[in-house]
Amino acid sequence: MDILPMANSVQENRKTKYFKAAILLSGPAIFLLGGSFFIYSKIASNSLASSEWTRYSKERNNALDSARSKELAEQIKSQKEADKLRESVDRTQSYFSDIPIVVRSSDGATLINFGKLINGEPAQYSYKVALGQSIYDVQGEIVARGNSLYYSDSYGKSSSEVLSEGEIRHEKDPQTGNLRLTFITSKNLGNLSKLGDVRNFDFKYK
Amino acid sequence: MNKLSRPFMHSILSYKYYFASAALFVLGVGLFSAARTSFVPSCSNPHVIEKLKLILSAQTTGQVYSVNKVTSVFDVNQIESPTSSSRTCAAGVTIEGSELGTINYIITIPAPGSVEKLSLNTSLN
Repeated sequence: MDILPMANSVQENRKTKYFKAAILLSGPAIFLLGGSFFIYSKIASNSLASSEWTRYSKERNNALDSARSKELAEQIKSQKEADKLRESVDRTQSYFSDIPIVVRSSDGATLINFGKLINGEPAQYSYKVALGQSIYDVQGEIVARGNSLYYSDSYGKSSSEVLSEGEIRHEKDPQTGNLRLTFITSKNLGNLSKLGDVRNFDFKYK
Repeated sequence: MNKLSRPFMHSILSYKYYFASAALFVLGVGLFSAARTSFVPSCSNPHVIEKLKLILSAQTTGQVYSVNKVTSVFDVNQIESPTSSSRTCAAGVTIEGSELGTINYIITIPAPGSVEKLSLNTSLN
């Protein structure tokens, strides 16, 4: 169908009108879109920073609490250990320092400087022992190694050489003022005692 | 207004809406461009400053920790043009009353899937 020239002109005018309207509207549209996007990005970035700060703050506080707890636990542990050690030292000091420089046992043995063992110094002891027809004069020395006491003496044939060695168990009774030393032989070069021999001495220190 | 300039002004005025539209178009494009980098929070964003203070005020390495009190953050500046994922800033920091110096910090948006939503790397200038 043929279009009348007048109708064609009207159609062209309409096209131009739409084109002009599109151009006029595109500016504000882009401005509105750009503005909205800008505001959205600002809000989003602030919300991102806020949530990240909250997360970090929580994690940091947890980490600090954990570190503090660990340190506190370490402090308590070391304090307890220190207390225990001090208590042990006090007990040991009191244990040894109570003993006079010279104490005698009921059967005539003499113990000298037992209280100085705690300072790393040796203590001495002596006693006489009758075996058969003979009387032996035994001289010995006690040393402390760690928490244990060790002795070496001349219990044996000769009075000049170390023939017997071993460990000493000690027991103090503050009620009776009695100190019991138990010598347990672990090395014997003489022929008077055997390995595992036990000799007891009861010293009165009060 | 003389007779010569009248037709020119008339033609300018008849296009005033087109000029306004073009100006808004340019502004809109500018806002789009600015929005691209606005997803990274600004240097002086209060949450960023708070995180910066927290980072500087506590260090936990293994079982050792120390806490310093950051008393103020001042002279906050952006020192490089931001990108769509990071922004470099500098700020003066005072710890417990004494000035520590200038801290450079980079605000970065990590890759998706990261625990951190925003990472803050600091260095003493």
